Amino acid sequence: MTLTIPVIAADGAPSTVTLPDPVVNSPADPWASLDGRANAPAGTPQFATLLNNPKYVPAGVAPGRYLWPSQAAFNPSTGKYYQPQFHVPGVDYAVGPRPGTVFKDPSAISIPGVTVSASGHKVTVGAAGAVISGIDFSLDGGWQCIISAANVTITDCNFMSGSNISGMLSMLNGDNNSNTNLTVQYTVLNGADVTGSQSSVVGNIRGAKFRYCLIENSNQDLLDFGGSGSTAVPIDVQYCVFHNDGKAGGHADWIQVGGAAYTITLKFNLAYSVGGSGSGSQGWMVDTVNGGTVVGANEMAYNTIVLGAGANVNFCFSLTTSSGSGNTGSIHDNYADLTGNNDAFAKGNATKTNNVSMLTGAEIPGF
Amino acid sequence: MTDTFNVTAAYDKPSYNQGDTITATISGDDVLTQTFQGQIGPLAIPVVSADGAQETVNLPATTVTVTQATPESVVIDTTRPIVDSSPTPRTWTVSANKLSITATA
Repeated sequence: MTLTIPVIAADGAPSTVTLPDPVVNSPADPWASLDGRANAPAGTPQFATLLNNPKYVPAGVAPGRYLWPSQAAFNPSTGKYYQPQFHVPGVDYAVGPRPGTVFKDPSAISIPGVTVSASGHKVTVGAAGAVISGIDFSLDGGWQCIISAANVTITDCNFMSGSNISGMLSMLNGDNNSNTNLTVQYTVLNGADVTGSQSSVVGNIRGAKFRYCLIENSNQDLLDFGGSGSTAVPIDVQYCVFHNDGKAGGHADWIQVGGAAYTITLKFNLAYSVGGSGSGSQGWMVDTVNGGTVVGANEMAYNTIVLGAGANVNFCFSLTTSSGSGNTGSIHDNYADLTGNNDAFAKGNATKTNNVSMLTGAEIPGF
Repeated sequence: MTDTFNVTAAYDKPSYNQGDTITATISGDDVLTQTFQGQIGPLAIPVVSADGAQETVNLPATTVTVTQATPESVVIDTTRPIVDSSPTPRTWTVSANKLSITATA
């Protein structure tokens, strides 16, 4: 790579002079410590080429994944980028169990306060602070994990619905009034499109933190937070992939909250749906429609959404905060391909700013 | 007549931060070498001896070659494009005196 400068002498004789490319220092990547890459599991991302799509670049630019500081996907007429410049889970880094995890049979769990029912295929975690690590809950047609204590951690586990939990409650389920501060990380939660009276992937959790999880193929909601009470608990979901729901005909939201009090933080996630939410997904829905309250400072930001044709997603976000001083909601800096969006990008009373269509490289109007 | 360019270019800084103005300046000259041929003579040189006798020495005509090297100024040729072969080519602007170009890092 060189710079060739044409020169001309006083007598009209031409020549050229060349220079190497100038050295341009890259400032520290502003996203490096924010977008989740730092603690992501090694391995190939599940949807590594998802954004290598000619739809997500300006005309004349080769399809590719253009991360910071590339300017290739910049739209000078809008001042926006067609693609997120930050790393996206499932695309730029993998999610799920960390490599090297040696999975164990759920029946082998031996932790005080943790009850294992081999015949019922259920593990009930009743010990506060218990850590359930490296368990393959997909064995034997599927096991459930019931959380009935606070500060439990589920890490590097594999869940998948099957014959044993078809038609039952969620495979990771909670006592929805007293159990808070659950952490689920580096885990696959696969609903396998199993139908039933209640088939959310995760249900009745009363506030939780999710990190680096692949949450997919539920017939009903992917994450369902329920319970009662006016003491707000945090729902903190970051660096996770929400992939396909409702394909078996259910009404499947990516997140739904019930009749309790919540504060939501939803950042740096991927929602990727290729179609088929039976009765229309309502996306990440955190509002008061089910009798709950949404209080404090709520934020849904830096998420990436790819909706294939027929995804049947009514809206991607719904964030409605309850009235009262200090209750705020913000939906900002999200990137979306809304091909399969059949109503609105976002609903609710939250502010909506700097959300970008990956199809146009322009801001999605607020609603 | 030959032109020998002794022109170099240099950036004004060893490195730049994004958004900085990059300036590259040319310096040096072009040496124009020209060769002239001419004739000397014929010559008739009067000589005189110590006793006053006079004579004339004749030299025949001869051809001589004169080489002249002349430094000439050099500027950027605005009729030809600046070729930036980097993966992300920049837009370069030539200064009014045609001795430097600038772009944004």
